[in-house]
Amino acid sequence: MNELISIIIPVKNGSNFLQEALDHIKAQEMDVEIIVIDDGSRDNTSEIAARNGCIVHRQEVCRGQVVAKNIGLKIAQGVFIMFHDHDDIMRDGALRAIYDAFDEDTAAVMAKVKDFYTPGMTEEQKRHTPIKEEPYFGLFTGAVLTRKSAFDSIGNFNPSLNTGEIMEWEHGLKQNGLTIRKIDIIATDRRVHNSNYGKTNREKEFKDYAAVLRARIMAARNESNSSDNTN
Amino acid sequence: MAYKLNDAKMFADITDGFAIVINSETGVYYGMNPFTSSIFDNLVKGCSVDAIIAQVMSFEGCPGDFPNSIDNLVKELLEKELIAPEDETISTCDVSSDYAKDCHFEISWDEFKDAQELLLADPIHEVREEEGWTPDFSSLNQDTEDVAQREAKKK
Repeated sequence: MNELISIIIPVKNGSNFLQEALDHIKAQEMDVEIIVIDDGSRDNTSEIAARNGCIVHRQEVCRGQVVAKNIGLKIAQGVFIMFHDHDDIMRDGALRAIYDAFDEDTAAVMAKVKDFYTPGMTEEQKRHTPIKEEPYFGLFTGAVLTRKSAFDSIGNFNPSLNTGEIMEWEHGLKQNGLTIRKIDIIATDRRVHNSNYGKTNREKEFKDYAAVLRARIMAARNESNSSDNTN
Repeated sequence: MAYKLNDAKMFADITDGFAIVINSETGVYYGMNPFTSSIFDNLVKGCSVDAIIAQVMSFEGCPGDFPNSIDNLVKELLEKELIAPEDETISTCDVSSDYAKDCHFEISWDEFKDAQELLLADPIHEVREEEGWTPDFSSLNQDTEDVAQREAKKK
């Protein structure tokens, strides 16, 4: 047995791939609760989740994936937390391997993910949507298991961000002296779709990243100035 | 000579006078002090280097070697591919004299590589526009509890 793991899936209109993702999570044969935060779907996402025994929280108004993650954290009863995308596929045995990599000094364990093209994409679409050929670290969803106590220490995600919240949170983790251990396994296959994300959204996305990075630099400078003043 | 942002790979944002430039291909990012940010802002708007030099040299207290400093800055910005040559120039520059004086006319910018993995993993890019996930931003103000909790943790 294992200490309870809460797997939080924030999703909007995920009926096309959610069942497959849930099947692979359930196949892990670990003690988990699966929490699906349905962020204003117009399809039967909630029904699929409920049919699979998930804890379902449905929002009528779309509030974005960051707010959805925070809601999931409030519902979660697990000692450990993992976020997972509704369209990704966890590999057999991955959750056990990540869980077993914890020691008492580790706040989170990060594994790798590997990109794959969703079936049906044309060669033309693939050319316009390059993927990473090699497995890589850095994606939190489906690849990082975190002690719930880490969220208790540094707080939940910044709800004013629509993206970049993981970057800010990870920085908070380091600032609090909490460590992420990396293990060289592939935990999840990450589905890549035809990419035509709008320019406007892309700019908003990078603006959020810039805000997070600016705060990060300012914090480092303030820390440095404070240290200089002390010395 | 005039320049523009190399927007094929770079994203730039200037807020509160502080420029952040992100290389979307490498995950490396750059932070500039306010004076450098103001120069950079004028550069990527198409203001010529000569026009920037002329304006800044008119500020009281400007050091005589400023032209060398900005030449070095432009050279480095080109080397790191933050900017690219541009044919069209604008004649009116607006470098901040306040930032120049506050920063003692020092051109200063840094390169950071501490967020490469997270920036390159970037989970949002592959969301299709028609299936996109843009929140109703007016609804986000309701999260007063989260905001209060986060602020409390910082103290």
